[in-house]
Amino acid sequence: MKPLVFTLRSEPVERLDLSALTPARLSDLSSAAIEKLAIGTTQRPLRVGDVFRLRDGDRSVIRFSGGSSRFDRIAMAMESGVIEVDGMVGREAGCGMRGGALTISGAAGDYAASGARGGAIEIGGDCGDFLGAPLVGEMEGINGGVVIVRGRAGHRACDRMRRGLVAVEKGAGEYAGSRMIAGTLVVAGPVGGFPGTMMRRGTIIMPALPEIAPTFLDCGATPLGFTALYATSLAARSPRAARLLRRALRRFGGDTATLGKGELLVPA
Amino acid sequence: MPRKAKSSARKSAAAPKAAAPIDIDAACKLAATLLSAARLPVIAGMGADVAGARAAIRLARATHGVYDHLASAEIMAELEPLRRARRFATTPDEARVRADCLLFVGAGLVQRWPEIGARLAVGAPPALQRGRARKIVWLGGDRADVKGLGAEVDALAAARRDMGPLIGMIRARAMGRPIKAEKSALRRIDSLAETFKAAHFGVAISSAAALDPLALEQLAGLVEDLNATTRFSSLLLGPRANGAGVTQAGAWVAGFPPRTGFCSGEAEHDPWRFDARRLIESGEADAALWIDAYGDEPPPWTRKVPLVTLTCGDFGGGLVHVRAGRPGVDHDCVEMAIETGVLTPRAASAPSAAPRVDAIIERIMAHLPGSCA
Amino acid sequence: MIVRISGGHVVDPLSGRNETGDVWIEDGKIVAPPQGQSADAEYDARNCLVMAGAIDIHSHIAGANVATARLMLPEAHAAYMARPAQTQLAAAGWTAEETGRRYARMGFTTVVEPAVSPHLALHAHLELSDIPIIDKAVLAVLGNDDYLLSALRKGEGATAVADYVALTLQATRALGVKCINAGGAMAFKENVRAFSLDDVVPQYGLTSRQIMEALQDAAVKLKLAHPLHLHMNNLGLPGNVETAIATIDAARGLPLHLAHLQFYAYGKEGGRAFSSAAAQLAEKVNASPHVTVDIGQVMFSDTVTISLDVLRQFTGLKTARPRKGFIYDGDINSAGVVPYSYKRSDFFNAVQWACGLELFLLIDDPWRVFFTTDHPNGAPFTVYPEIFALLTSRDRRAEWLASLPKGVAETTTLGSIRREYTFEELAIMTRAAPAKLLGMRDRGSLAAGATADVAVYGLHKDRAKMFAAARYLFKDGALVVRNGEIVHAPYGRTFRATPGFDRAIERRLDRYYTSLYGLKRDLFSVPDFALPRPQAFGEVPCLA
Ligand SMILES: [Zn+2]
Repeated sequence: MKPLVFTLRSEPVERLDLSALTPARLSDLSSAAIEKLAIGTTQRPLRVGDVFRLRDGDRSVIRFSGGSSRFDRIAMAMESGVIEVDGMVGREAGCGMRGGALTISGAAGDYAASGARGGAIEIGGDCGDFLGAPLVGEMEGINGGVVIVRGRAGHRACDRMRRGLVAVEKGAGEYAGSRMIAGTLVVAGPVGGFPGTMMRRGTIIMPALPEIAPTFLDCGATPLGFTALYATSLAARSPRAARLLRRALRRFGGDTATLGKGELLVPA
Repeated sequence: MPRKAKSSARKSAAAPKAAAPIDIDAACKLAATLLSAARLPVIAGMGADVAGARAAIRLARATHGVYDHLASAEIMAELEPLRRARRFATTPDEARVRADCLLFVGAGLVQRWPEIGARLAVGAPPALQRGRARKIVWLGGDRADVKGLGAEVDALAAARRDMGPLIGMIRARAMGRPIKAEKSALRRIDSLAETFKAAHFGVAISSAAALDPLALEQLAGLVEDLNATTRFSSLLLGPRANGAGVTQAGAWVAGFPPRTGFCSGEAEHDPWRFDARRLIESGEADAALWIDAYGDEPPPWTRKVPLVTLTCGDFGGGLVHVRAGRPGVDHDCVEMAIETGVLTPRAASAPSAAPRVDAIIERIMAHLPGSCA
Repeated sequence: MIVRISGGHVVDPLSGRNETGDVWIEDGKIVAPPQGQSADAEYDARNCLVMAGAIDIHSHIAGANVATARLMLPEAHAAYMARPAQTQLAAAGWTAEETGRRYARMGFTTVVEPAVSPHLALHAHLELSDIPIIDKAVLAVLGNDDYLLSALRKGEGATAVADYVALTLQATRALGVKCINAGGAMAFKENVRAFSLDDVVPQYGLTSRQIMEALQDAAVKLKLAHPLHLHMNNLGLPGNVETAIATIDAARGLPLHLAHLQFYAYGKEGGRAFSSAAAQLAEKVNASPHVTVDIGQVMFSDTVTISLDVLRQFTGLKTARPRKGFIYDGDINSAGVVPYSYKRSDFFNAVQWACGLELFLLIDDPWRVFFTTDHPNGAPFTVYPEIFALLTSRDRRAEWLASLPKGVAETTTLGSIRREYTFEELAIMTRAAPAKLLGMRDRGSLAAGATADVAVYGLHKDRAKMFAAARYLFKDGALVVRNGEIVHAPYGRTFRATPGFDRAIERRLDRYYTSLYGLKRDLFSVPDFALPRPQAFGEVPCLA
């Protein structure tokens, strides 16, 4: 099946809201109608045809040839199908996703996978701050699905995470897993200071212990259990994260500033 | 974001190049032309009284633009516990007359509010707590501020970066949960936790400028936790340049605080997307009106953009500058007063003919295409 | 300019009209059909219901706590980032401008913001100034302030209290005085967690009952048209019908308005110790002619509760939906803002919904029961049309009742009530009676001389559709709504009462502020210069 391809003509002059370009929302539109969709975000918004050359194809597989840091909300609320981006994207990639697969070859901006509930998201490069975090005012971050970031994540990755599995291969900034409610974050590279600040439950796995708050307590070696299960499920998608999960791990429980039922795991 | 301290240097460099004075109506006409021609105009700074803020928001709406305040980073941080958790707040009056425990948190509080000690009558027992003494604790304060407060203070020094973990430790101990600490440090933390729990009505005083966002949220959490058994509240000193008053005006005029855009016609709030500095630096915004009637603070961006400035001084980095009157000095105004914590009327202390921000904006709006004026 | 609204079904209880006929307007007033003159403009009202503009006596539409609610819930706004598209709070507009426009769309022309704390009066008036079309008024809240409680503790007499109340009305530009859980907020500052009618405020030695009586007496003494507007103790608690009945007795036969009575109509029967006691309470109200009530109807929606009953709001944090909240210990009153979601599937919420309707239907006298949801506490005001539909159709109520969780129908009498409100009863409850209760003698009627606030609704058998959007609305004689669309948005006035008082209280209070707070009292005033439209005030006369 030939995918539907959007080829970038040139860097757009304004931010684009690409939430309309998902398999479900395009399924009934002719390519002429797609070209007329407004995707700009200012008072005289750009339309699809202004920004992209279109090659029609199967609507359940959408490919963007060429990316931009101004591509916001790509695959937002997607329920099924595939979106692939050959390039970088802006904010809120895969935000509120429920199913399907989003693959980005380059970097992603802040709030990637914000509030996602299902599906698979893979970011080939780095991602910005607040990976998986809730948007302002919302109470819960990522709530399901699997997210793989091949590069580094910015600050506060998986803020308010509720459920799901996030693997970041090359490292994360400060306050990773801040205010986590539950769920699992694996970072297979160096992590900035104070991971798990105000986490209630949930698990953050790191290759080495960074500076942590005194509200985390050393609980000693932890039996291999669910981490090994996650290793198996990640083996194909992120061997690097899987390797970390297979090691013997030591547990630091916290954050006792709040409920204190979360944990930081590092190789023993 | 560059702070006020830097502004004098910028100002003196920019002042000699000030745009030649033109008559105010011509300036307003030019401003209207620039803003209405723009794809995405930004009404930034917003250092203005409530009337000025209302006008600025309406101008942003009329031009399908964005409004942002010069201290929005602090506004967003103050709003965070409100928008995502539970926040207890009180007034300077209640801190003064009722608090038998004042907990100052962070550095820079006296710089933000030099009269804080006198206003809260820190040296006297709280008038409405008959017979109860006042206990004062300061975590992470400037040494000089703590000494100069005019009352006996139990002070614990801490670097800004350590404030969140420190508050977290107190929070853990107040709720009887363990922490990792040496014996003496644990004793110290425990005694602070006990002090707060023993207060009848405690007030934590801080600001978004004094603490990082997560530390500020941690403090909100400590205050909330203490209310399980006693009464505790908090007082945030608020951002400069009437940031809190502008936020309130935003709430009723547009439904949102600063960092809100009207690109589609309807108000849309996005703290990142509608950050004025980012919009200009990224080239997404193509015209700006910069307002600071309080302090003549320069815009925080470096990129060149068609710019109209409206400040109480002679700042002239843009195409057109209009000198505005200072709220409460040159003209009567309403602003969020730090000494009351509510929107407060202020009569002019040195009335002058310098034009008000809202009057200037109304003249700009009268020149917008399609305006019926 | 003479306007004729012709051929409609005119329902005007004050002039006794319930007939097909015309309404004439000239220079902003209703006039008798002019002899020998023709209309400059004529509006066809055939197949329409014509009534005076509606009046809402209790709706939290402005002020610092409303602002806090807006700031707390950015995700509840229509245009919040890209999600969600629409929320129930968003339907209420959520800005000052939209508040006026959406009330007008439903044919409302006067709305009272009932909870203004004196030190936050300027904030409320600034916001009200920006609400277009409708007229407004505020009630000033006392009863948790050190000045009043200290005066009562010292045994100062009724005159001193009345002077203080009158000065407060002047300073806050209020139409009347309200009391919210008298003494409760003060007790909460002393870490008291439950507070009932005869509980004592620590440090002051006064009961809630004593504070309420003092304010009720002051309202009577000042001859305020609007009696003391009371938010009772124990809001929302199972078994609180006892409190409501005791409070009605505590009124001693003097006029008293009880706010959002629905929240006090609860028994503690049944397996979940929560039941409707609305029938019992309605009977008490029927037997107590000195008492008026508004309902505070609950409808199933995602909303936010805004209340100066901080004790109740603090308790409510535990059941907040979503889990956010704001608790404010203020100078003169406290407050709490807590989001809440009333769910049809929730037994307790369903009982609350039934209680409100029972009260509406079992209180016999439409002159003493007022139509409110305590916006946004029971539901956003935009649900009003659906409530009108429920009141006018027992079939509709039966449909709703059938959709509620098991056990709800058994705990209420709602299913057995056959009453359906008539247009005349609706006109009394939402027009004539509120005008009388507020002392706004110029409105609520279509009699000659009345302010020409006129609502015209296209008759439709679905009353919810009919009352959602007026065919025409005239405000002060000007057409502001046509076919549910706003065609003109002038700014209305804010009404206040100005009883006389002994000026000595001003100096006493000045000294009190300087010595206690170290501040000048006028920092908390509402001066003309602070308002964008300072001339836009009207007066409500005191009783003769
Ligand atoms: Zn109310």
